[in-house]
Amino acid sequence: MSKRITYESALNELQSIVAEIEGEEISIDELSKKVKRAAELLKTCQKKLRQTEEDVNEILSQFDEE
Amino acid sequence: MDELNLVIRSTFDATYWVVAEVANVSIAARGHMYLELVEKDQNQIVAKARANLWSYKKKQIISSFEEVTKQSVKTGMKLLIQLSVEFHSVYGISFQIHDIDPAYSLGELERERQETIKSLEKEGLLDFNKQYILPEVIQKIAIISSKTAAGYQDFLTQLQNNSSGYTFQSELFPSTMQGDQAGASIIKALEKVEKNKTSFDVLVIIRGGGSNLDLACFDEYELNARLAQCILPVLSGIGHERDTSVTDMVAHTRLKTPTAVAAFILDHNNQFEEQLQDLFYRALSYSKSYVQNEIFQMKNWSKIITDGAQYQIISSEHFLKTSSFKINKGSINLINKSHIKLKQEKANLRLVTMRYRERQRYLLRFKYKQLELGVKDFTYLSTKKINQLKKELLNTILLTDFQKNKLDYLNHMIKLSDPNSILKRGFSITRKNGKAITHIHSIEKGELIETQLTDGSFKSIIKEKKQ
Repeated sequence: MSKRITYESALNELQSIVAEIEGEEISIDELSKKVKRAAELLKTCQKKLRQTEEDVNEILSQFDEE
Repeated sequence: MDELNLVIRSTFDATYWVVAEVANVSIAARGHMYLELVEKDQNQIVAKARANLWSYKKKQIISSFEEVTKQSVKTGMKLLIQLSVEFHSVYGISFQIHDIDPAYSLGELERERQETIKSLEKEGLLDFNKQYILPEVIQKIAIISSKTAAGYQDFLTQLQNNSSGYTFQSELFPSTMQGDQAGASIIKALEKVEKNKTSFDVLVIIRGGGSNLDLACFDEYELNARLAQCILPVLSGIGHERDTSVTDMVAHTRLKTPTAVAAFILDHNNQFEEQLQDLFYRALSYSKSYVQNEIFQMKNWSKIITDGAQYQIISSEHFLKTSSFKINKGSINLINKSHIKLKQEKANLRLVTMRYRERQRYLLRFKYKQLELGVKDFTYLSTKKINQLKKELLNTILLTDFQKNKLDYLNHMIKLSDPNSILKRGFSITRKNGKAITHIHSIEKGELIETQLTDGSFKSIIKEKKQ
């Protein structure tokens, strides 16, 4: 999976997978693949979120130092 | 002649106070001073005479005159002179000077000065040079002075040894600063300044250190009119001890001495520096407060951003958790449903399989029966056919026996015709060149022939041939 995927597109894909699973539009054949993909996306999103939080804190801490 | 002399002497035995203009001054080797006196009426000379000031009187009269007027007696000057008339039988009539009234000349000079001032004022020149605004920093200075004047040196020293470390570019336009020629010389120098390529900030006109006599040039109309209209602001430092000269009046700024001019320039520049410093501090303080304010604003914004970012992150996290939960739940749901479906399918499969097996079994039984019947038919027909074939075979065997007998016969016949058996019976075969001789004409006398018997052969030569 490409690491360059944006949070936005990852989220969109995740949402569509959730909708598919909730709507029971997915065959069992696809399910594990989809869930695996969803897990990857979740991981990516969480990672990005963590990174963003750290970045924001770091950037803002520079202001506090002054 | 002597009588006439007497008459003249008795007629002019007194001394007379006479007002006259000096047309020429000359000093003789022995220290006598000769004045040529004239009276003018609108530039027309209406009277003219020579007057002598003997050296023994000259020193006292001239020094008191110079002390009061600060002028030496010179051409163009109006004097109130006490004269006596002398008649010399050889040289004729002449006037002898007994006194000169300095107060009259002083008044006369003052009157002229006032007139000059009036003219300049009328022409708007008195304050003309004052209209200039001095540049913020005075650095390029044109100087009209005498090179050797102590005042000029003082000015330079004062200017260069300034504690603020200012540097100046100054250029001297040398001029005579004193005497009759001073006015014209200064004007010449002024023209040079105005033509100079350097754009000076100010013109400084200074003198000092020399005699205080003959500074009338600084009251002259021509020079002052020119100075007033100079392209540069004029700073004067001509060091009059008595009241101010007209030059001081027309100058942009008048100062007492050259040193004072230098001090003024330094002070002026200093003021500008102080102003700069003040502005700098004001800018600094403004900047500081501005930056302070901005920092405060930034902190505010930073807090807003932090809060916003944190909220965004928390809500995103929540969303991710929800999504994860939904995926979990949905997947389990899907799997469960699939399980149920699978069970149903299994049951269905079992049922269908059973049915199928039943049907197949039935069909199998049916086929078996058919097969059984078919086999019976086939056996019957086959037996029948086999019997028939048996019969046919039997017939064939019979036929074979007949043929065998026939063969035996033929064999016997063949044996009978075998050459060997013929040879055994006493017949022989004679061959020529391997070929059986059957006709007599195929042999000739003398030819080699071979005769074969049943158990061997012999060769013979034909001796005779009979037919």
